[in-house]
Amino acid sequence: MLEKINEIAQLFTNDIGNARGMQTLEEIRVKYLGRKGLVAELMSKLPSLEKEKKPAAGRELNTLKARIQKELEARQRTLLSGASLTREEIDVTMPGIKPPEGRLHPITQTLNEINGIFVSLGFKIAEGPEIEKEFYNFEALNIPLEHPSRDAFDTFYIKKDTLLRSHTSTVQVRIMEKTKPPIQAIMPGRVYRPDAVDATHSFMFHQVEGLMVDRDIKFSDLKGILNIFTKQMFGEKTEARFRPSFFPFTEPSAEVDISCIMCRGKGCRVCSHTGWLEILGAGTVNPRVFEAVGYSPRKYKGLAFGMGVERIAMLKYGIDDIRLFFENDIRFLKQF
Amino acid sequence: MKVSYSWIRDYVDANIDPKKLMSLLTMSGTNVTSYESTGGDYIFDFEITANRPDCLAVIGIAREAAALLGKPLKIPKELRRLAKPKSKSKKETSLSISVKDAKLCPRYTARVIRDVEVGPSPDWLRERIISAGLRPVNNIVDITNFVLLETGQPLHAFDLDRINGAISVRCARKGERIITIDNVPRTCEEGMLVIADESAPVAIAGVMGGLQAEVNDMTRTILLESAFFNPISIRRTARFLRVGSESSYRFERKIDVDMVPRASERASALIVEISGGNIGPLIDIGKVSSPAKTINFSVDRANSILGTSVDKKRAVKILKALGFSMEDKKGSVKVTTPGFRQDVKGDADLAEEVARIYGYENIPLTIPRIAGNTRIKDFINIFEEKIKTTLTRLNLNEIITYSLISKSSIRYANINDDETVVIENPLSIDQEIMRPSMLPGMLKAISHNFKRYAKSLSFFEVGKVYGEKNGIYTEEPVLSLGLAGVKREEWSSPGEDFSFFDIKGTLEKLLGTLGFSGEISFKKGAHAGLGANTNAIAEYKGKQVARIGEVDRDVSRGFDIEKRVFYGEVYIENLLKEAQLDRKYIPYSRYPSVMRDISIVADKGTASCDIVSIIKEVGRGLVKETLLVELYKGKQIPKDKRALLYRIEYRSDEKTLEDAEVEKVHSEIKSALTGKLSVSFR
Repeated sequence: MLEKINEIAQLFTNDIGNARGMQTLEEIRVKYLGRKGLVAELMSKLPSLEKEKKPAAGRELNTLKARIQKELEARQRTLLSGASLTREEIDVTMPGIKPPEGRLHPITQTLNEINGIFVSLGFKIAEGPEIEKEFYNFEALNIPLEHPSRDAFDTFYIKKDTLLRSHTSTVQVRIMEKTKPPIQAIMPGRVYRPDAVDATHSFMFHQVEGLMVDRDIKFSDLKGILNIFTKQMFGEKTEARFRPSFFPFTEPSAEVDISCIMCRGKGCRVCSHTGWLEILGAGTVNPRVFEAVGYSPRKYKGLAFGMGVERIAMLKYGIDDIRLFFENDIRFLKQF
Repeated sequence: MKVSYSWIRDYVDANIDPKKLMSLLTMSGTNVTSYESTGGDYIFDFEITANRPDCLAVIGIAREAAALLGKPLKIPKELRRLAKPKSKSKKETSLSISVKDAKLCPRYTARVIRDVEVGPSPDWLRERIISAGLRPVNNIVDITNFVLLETGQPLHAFDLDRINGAISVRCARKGERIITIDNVPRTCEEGMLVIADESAPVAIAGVMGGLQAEVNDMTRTILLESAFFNPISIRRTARFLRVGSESSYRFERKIDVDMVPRASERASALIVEISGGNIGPLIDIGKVSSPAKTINFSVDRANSILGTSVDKKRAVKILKALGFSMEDKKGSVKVTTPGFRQDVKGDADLAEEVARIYGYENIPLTIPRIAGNTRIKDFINIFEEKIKTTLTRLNLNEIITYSLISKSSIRYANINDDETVVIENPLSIDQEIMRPSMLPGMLKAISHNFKRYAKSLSFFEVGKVYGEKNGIYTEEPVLSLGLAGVKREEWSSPGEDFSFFDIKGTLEKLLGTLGFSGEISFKKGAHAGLGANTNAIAEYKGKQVARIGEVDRDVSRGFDIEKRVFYGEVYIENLLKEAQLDRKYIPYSRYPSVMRDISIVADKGTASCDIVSIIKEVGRGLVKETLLVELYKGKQIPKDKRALLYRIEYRSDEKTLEDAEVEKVHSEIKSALTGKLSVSFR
């Protein structure tokens, strides 16, 4: 019996040493002093002891019970007095300590948003080289050598037939060369044009192009898909309009305008008082592009579209100078 | 191209609000970018796409308007059909013209008009010329410009009395000189097409006339030229001379050969009417005409391209109004393209013509069947996204810098330029080469911010570096890291600067997230631009995955940075194959840990990683974590030593560890350390 009492005493020393709060203290009290606790359990065994052992065991057990009670109370006092430390005076108007965090570049955020919309529509993300053969940038896309349609695509050259791609349409050709339809992909990436740098022109920028090829793709599908995109990207109230235009690699071609997100179409400085903002070019794939990649233009039809990411980010965030994206001023980067 | 509302109405009864007309034209592809209203008229500024040279003419735009409004197009009679030459006997005998290069000049017409009276144009003509944004000169020049604007056919009038003998259309000889009407002396390139008399060129064909034979108030006899020049040749010449004119702009885009003699007739009639004179016969060399293409048109095919249900009657009506000839033969329609629409080559083009006039806004919205890609994102996309989100979580800000940089910036950064990709035609010195390293861009961004009083900078960029070896171009994805200045600026933390161990810690944390915990080894390295003693290579399975270090002070000063900069490059392709983004749950021990500190005094040359690996090896199974909690160098220990305090966490997966067990392993670790690294303990 005395051994048992010692064991419980040892156990209690351990437990009380680890008690860090009121909840554990209560658990300990129940464990030792509760109606079905360890002490009560030993108490209930006292009557069955041999006569001569009863007094000593009773004494020891009472001492233990008193000690447990005392130490629990003492522990409780220290814990409570510790709690009173929080009554310290502070200046609540001092700035909070903000956990540091970094930001993604606004171009990345815009790209993620654009990609996300098309990915949800089943488009696969595809990439291709920035240093390209002239063929992929021009001839395969029905942009003949020395034709005025090339004027819109001034290009950096590395050597005679090698250049920096001036649009990501190059990736369209590469995909079609090595895959059979159906194709459904978007192609984000950096593109380069030797434009004099000003508030709206940069010699490097980002594009996202999209391509779908299948047996029964129609121009009306382009309208359906881009309608979802413009509404998701710029808001439910944004209207999109399709205007006939010209791109050598699509036929029919369209320029897509959205109702000005600044003035809601009323006319303002940003939309040159037209109420509309040009945001992307699109069309059904020109059969000559299919011929260039070895697809049968009779069998397949396609749709393609392309947009400048900087332009979209500028409209979305109200940024008025494209150079800000590449200056990397921390006061700019921290805003997005 | 500027065209007034009233001029358009000369050819079509457009009885609608000019703004309504503007919107109809814009929405059918003849885009009006701006307009101005002056004196009751409207002047529209059209943006004509490269495929539509026919709309670089007022009649072309009027044809569009007529098709949109369902009204007839009224064309002046000289332009409708070419009047047959009245009699073959009436041949021009006073003048010899020869075309030496029929490839560059497939058709050349000229006509002598004698006894003209040169003077100012009548008001109506001056107004038309001014409305198009040109300057009235005299009646002859104004008429040629008027017909150019009206028909799109460039014309040129020479003062025949100032031309010396026979005229030839030929390629220029090297070094031939001409002063053009803008009073600029120009040297011809060999092979560019000129109109020359017996002594010298008198005009650069299709681009600009010469001063010598310019029509002025004294002119009595003119030679009226109307021709078709090869578009590529004109484009090259205009680019070479860096001049563009109303004429060259149209020739480059390919004019309608059929209009060559008609425009001449039209201008001749106007000259006689306005400045008097006697018209000579038309000299017409190389009678080619515009190629006409016949296409089988099926309205079903057009509807399947467009997703519409336009009826056949409507489609045929639209194409007719646009100038196509239609021949309906029991279901199949043969369409013949007019000379001014050489951009139309197949059924997709015809579908576009129908759609433009039918109205893109009337095409329904549909959703195609998805292609069923099995994989939407490649692993590299997911991997790069993970890198970016991890680093922003670790308080780094993403930057995007130019992939084109200057040669001097890589010299400043002390980077080898042997295999760099060089740009042939940069616009400025900032675009000379494709970056072989991300370091210059990073330093530029840091420098920019320090100059603007930023205190704490932590940046990363995911991009590519470019190279060339034996004609093969490479593009390698790389992550760059840059830390500079104070770690935190707030009151709560003292102004401690970033150190090597911050960039190392950032890299370790990133690699941990990418699934590389614990197996990366760091050793001293040598990397361009980084200081010799603070430069480390991180390896995984013998492959270099990253380099980190402090930027050489000479290099950072080259970018105007005074503060210390810590830089890292991570080679994404070397990481890709081994990365493990998937997580598996590892059950953790339910038994308590025992912490023991070990304070080691070691030679400065003893590597921390060697100490830790001995601790881990000897304490295998029980040592769960070894944390360096203190580093001491100073008075209390010898000069060539340092003291390292490690906190070791012992834990068993099977039971609560007894003190004696821990003590046993701990002393084994100690003796292994003394044995292998000759360290002592404090």
